[in-house]
Amino acid sequence: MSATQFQRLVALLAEAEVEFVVIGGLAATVHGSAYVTYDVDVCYDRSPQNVERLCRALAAVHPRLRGVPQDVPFQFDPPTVLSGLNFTLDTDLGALDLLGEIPPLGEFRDVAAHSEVADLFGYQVRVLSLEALIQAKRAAGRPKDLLVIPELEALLELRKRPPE
Amino acid sequence: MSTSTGLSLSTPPDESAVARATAFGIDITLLIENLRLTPTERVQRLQQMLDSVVALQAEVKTRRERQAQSV
Repeated sequence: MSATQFQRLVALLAEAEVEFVVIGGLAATVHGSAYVTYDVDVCYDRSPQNVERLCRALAAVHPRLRGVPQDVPFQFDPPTVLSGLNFTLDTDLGALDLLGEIPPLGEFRDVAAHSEVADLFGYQVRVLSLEALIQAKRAAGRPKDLLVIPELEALLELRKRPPE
Repeated sequence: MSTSTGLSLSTPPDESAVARATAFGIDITLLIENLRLTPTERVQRLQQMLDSVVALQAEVKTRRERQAQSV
């Protein structure tokens, strides 16, 4: 197993002008979380034009379904993406999860409305806001999501404190 | 995106999220340190940690395989 290359994956999507919002553990890191995440999670715009850009960008890093035997046929192309919604992928740059929607926020447009723009490696990248990240983690309700909420709430409070 | 803070560890109010996180076992000093970094620096730090974890896992796996072969 090789480590996910965060900078290269973000750059790949940003340079291809893919519309996406960074969510999950990487969003938590951007906001200051000390937890270690192993993958890049993004919510992507499912418009045909964006899905086309997404597929073209990822073709270079050979996306395949994670945790699925190699001999299971899979082609990451617009018809496949548009007929599905969420994809957990392995790529040459590491693990990448593509989500078409995030409960309870909704689809890309709704998620983007709950995002902030961050400068990441020189790219202006949408990142799910800390408040929305907490909301999504709470809605997901899995132990691994609930576990990080105390830290995220502390970060929210620390950010709001006036300088001493 | 917050990148600078004037934060300290002065006693937080009991009901604060920081107090709850501390009681939960979160090291607040790490969060304060992270908030002083830029978003890019935070992700670079994550990358360094993940690279170390993966390297360590590979080393452990290699050693276990060597031990298994020598038995």
